[in-house]
Amino acid sequence: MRENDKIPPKALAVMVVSAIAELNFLIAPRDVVDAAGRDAWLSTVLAIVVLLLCAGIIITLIRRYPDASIVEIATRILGKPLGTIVALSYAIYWLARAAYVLQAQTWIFAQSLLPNTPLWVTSLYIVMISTYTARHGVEPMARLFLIFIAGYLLPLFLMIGPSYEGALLDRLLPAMEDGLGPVIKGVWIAFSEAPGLSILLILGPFLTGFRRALSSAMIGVILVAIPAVAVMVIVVAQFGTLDVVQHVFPTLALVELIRFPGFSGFRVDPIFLSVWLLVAFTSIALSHYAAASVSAGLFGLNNDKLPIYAIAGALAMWSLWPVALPDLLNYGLRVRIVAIPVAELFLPALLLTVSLIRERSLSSTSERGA
Amino acid sequence: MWWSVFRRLFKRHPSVSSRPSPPDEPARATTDRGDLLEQLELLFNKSDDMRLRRFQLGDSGGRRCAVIFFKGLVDSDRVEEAIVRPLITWSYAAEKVGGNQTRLRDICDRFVVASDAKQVTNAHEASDAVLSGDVLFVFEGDREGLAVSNPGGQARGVQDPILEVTLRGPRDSFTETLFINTSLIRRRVRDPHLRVAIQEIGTRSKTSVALLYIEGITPETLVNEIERRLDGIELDGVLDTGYIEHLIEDEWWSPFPQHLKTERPDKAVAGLYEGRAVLIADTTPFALIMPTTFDSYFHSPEDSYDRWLPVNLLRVVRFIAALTSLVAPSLYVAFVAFHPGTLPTQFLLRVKAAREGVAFPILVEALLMMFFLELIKEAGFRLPSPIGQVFGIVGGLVLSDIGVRAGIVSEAMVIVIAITAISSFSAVDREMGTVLRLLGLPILISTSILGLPGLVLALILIATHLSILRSYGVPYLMPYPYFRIGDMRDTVFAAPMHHRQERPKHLGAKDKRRLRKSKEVADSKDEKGGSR
Amino acid sequence: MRSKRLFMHFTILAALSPLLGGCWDYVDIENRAPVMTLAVDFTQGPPGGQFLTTLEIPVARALAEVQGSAQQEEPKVVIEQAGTTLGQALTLVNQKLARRAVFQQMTAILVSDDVARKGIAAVADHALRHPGFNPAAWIYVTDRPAGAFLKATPQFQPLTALYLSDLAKQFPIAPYMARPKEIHTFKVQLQEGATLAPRLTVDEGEIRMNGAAVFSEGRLVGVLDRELARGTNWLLGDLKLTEIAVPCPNQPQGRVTLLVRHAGRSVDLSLDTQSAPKFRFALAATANIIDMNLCPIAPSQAGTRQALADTAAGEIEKMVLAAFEKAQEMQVDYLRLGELLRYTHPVLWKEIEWVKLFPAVEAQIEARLSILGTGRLDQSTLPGSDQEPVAGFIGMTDEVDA
Repeated sequence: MRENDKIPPKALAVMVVSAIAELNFLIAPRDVVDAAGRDAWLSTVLAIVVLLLCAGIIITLIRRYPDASIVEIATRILGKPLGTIVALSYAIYWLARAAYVLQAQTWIFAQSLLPNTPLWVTSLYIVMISTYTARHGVEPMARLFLIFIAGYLLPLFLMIGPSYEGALLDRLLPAMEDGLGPVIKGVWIAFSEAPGLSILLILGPFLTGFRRALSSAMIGVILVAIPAVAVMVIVVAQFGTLDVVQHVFPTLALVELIRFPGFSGFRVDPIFLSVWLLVAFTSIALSHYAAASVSAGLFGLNNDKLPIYAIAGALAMWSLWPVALPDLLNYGLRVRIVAIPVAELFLPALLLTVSLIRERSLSSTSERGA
Repeated sequence: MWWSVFRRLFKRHPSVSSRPSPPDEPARATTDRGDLLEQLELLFNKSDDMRLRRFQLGDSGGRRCAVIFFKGLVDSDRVEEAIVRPLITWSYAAEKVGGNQTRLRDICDRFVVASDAKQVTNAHEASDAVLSGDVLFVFEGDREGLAVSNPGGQARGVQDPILEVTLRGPRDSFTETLFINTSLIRRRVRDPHLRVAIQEIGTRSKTSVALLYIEGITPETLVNEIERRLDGIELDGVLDTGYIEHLIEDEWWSPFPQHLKTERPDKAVAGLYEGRAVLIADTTPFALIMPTTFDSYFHSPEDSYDRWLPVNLLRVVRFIAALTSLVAPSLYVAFVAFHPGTLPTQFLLRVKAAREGVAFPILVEALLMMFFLELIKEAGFRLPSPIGQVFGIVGGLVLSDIGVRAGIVSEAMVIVIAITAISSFSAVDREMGTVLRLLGLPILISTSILGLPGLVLALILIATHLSILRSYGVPYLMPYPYFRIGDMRDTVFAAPMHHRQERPKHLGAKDKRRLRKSKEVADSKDEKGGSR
Repeated sequence: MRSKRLFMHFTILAALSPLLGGCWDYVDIENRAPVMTLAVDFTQGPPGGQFLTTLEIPVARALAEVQGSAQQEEPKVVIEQAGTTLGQALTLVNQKLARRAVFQQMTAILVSDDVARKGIAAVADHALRHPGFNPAAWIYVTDRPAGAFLKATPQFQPLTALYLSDLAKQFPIAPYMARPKEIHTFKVQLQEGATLAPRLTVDEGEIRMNGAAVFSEGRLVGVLDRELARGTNWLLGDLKLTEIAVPCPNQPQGRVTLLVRHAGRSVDLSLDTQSAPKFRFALAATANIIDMNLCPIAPSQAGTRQALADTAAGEIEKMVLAAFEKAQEMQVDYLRLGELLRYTHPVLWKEIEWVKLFPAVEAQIEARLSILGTGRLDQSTLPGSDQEPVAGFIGMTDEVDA
């Protein structure tokens, strides 16, 4: 009776949104504006194009190996030693990503909502729930995150409308004043703020088919893209580039300004932050699961139960590492601008290219043989 | 118990159901061949409600025989009319003619005035028959007997539903008698494909349990799975379908009910037509509908009878009420004790004014009020209904008013708890309402540790649990995932009947169509009209 | 195996049990003191140069008992605390309070004239940096020590904060002050050059919002009066509704009052041959006549209305031009014209020095008014209007005659 652990390709849109959207909505505007100035929105749009390209590469790659996990894909393409290294680095990458989001999340709570609560309380609580979620596999997770999409879209829509009041679009003008350089830099930063697409690499074996998988993944990217661009536009239009780069969480500052007529004193930022926890949680849980799933593949386990607990432990320890928030964000940025393009774009592209070349050489040798 | 709950929390594929260890064998009649009458006398010798009437067939030399039955299970007048009188009259007549038929088969075929009679060949069968309300006819010293069905005894008639009150719709409800219940369903499904599979469950109670489904709609896998689970039950007695429910549900440790209970035949039949199966047990006025989804606890059969637009409003209200009963006290604690910045200024000042002088912290206040609420509710249920109502009102008013005056609780908390209570009672399903209200407690504790984030984390935990939960393989949260438009037509939103042409896909019904498009029907009618 | 598993669960549970240990940020609401208004002054006398903060904290019980209770409690507590920085003062204030001060509900920040002249950064930085502070609190500049405004009980409302919120809500129908703005928005605009904040004055013993305080380079540099504030609001496009009184076209002692609605403005920027910027403000509005004392004209006639509208447009132009010239005189571009130049002519913007250019920049102001309604009367016929009734009037006066 039990349906097996498979998800329809449609669910990829949900997975993509869950994987990408996290606290980057709160933090990224500052870094991108810092790099691209007024053209932050343009950089974001272009970064989304790159992200769509990534989705195309990854989906093409996993479609070529429909029932293979990332470990199998990598070893089949690059051989055992190199493939293992690639898979292992993905495991570490996803673990690091989960730990980063977790730590940033606990910091945000500590900064604005729960100043006296020890960081580890929030952190362990989230790790525990993430373990429970990851423990039951991809399919329930996909259904769960579909519900959480509401927790992603609703606050955004509620925020974008009212926070537009008082915004001046002329703060975005003129476009590309300093030429293409800052825009390109902004694209790089903006792309580095949106990790998570690579989690699609482990989803291949869980899909019931690949029909419209690509379009579904792209819909997911678009679902992230539209609010991301809107937030970028409004943040700059409301505060101007000078002010945005001064804020640690510019989007949060935007939310703090929202007023509802007739409700004096009614502030939505604690509600927004709490609901946004859903969005951060989906990224943590997915990365948690992805790291565990790769570890299981690496150790040849047929059950990912043990890796999930192990990763949970690693996650908890990593997130409890005492780092000051500015250091976390600065190190995070420095690591991200290298790690994320490599993991999300270059490695999948490399795998795909090698795979294509091998196939061609194979077919040519077989032709020659014939 | 908690250990095992916790263990299951992190267990990937929990077993179907944990089965109780088999009880020690009850005292049963042996299947040995011997004098049936003697064996039965021995078996039932301490049962004073057993009636054993010995009599002789013919004058002299006729064989002695007996009827055995339990008083109350059997209509005694009809025993005389249908068995004893025909036999005695006939035996005299037969003696005069000279024949003396003493073969059970002949007696059964020719003299017993009853629609149902069967031969039993050992004491085991005989005792089962007598216990289930048959009248047993035996010759002294014989090894076989005749079990004559003679239904009677006391049974409640069909009455109005008590729990699931309806404004519009049929007023009959299930009773404690299995065959009355099946007849209520059969009247609504005059389809030869309605299958009623009866089996006995309970080593001592031997309760008849009927599994109903419509062949051609209900998927076979579902029926097989239910039968497999029913076969796995070895329990001494089944007093209510609740016993069965607890033993065959997917996750026993989950707070959420995984079977829909109903006392309304129309609701059960609606389930059958959707491709679900219905389980009815003798002595239980509640049928189980399975598989169940979270959604179905918020649907009332009336929703399909009333106009669709107001029904939509009601459904939205029900879902909001469910959410309110789950989070209202926690939200209050989060906003007031953690994030007072979120409250509108005037409201904040009001709440603050009300809180001044209250003896307990908000959390304790909330727990106290939740306890009061359960107390009043429980006492109100237990008291006879006229007093219960008065008690509920008086208890609620007095407790809250005096509580406020005495500084035990604040007015705002009284309102919050009242809203919680009303919301949870507005749930269509009583059990789901209670579950949601009680789940508010862990949420409240989580909230009191971490404020609004704690509330959200607790909700994530519950949502995760709900998305993991399945009822007979059907995910509990169906049909929401991936927005299958066809299945979304009867969820939070109720589409007009015209647009509900197909059975819900997630139930895997074999015959998918349930309504032809009104246009098709209209066209065919037009054609008829034209040909005339 | 079983014992191992048990051990693992026990470890997890033990690790989680401290979760139940405390409610760190749980503070019952009666133990909190929501600060509604903050006033910032300098301390008088030694130790000089310190900030003196005054906080307005409502007494919730007294506010709830306002209706019909016998003994009237003071509705608010006003507390003063000095400190070298705002952050220090506002933390120190907790020692004077039996409750924990929270600033999330704060709706108004009052800055005294002298603090504002010294520099607003001290206030803005704390307000935006401290996570517990409300960055959506509105900022006002007072014409006298700000603390005094909190000690008085204003009309209608027991709390100065609520009274100020109500006053600020009047802005759309009484635009004689700078548009009230959140401290965050205020800071953003100030960073871009210059901005305005509403001024609080005391008039007939009541707090009034009058005129505007002009900020530039982080400090208060000047003050606009009521009329200039109105003109400035029109220039900024913040004005939607106002009234204007114009002389009667053919009756010098007569006055016509127009209610101007749907006011709008658009700014055009053109460069002349020396690439000097020239601004053209087009103001447009509709108007209704609401009062025509001693003015016996018939506004139902299109020509009369047009003449009236032209007169009114002239008045508006004068008013707005005065506001513009005041900005030039103060050499502060709070009209955000530099921004317009920046994004329309980015190359030129980098060459010029706007601060020096602005006082001499040329502006053309054109107002267009259309009078759409005459009110419920057409021509006034009551005695005192000096003239004989003219034939051909319409409206209610017919019925009066009959």
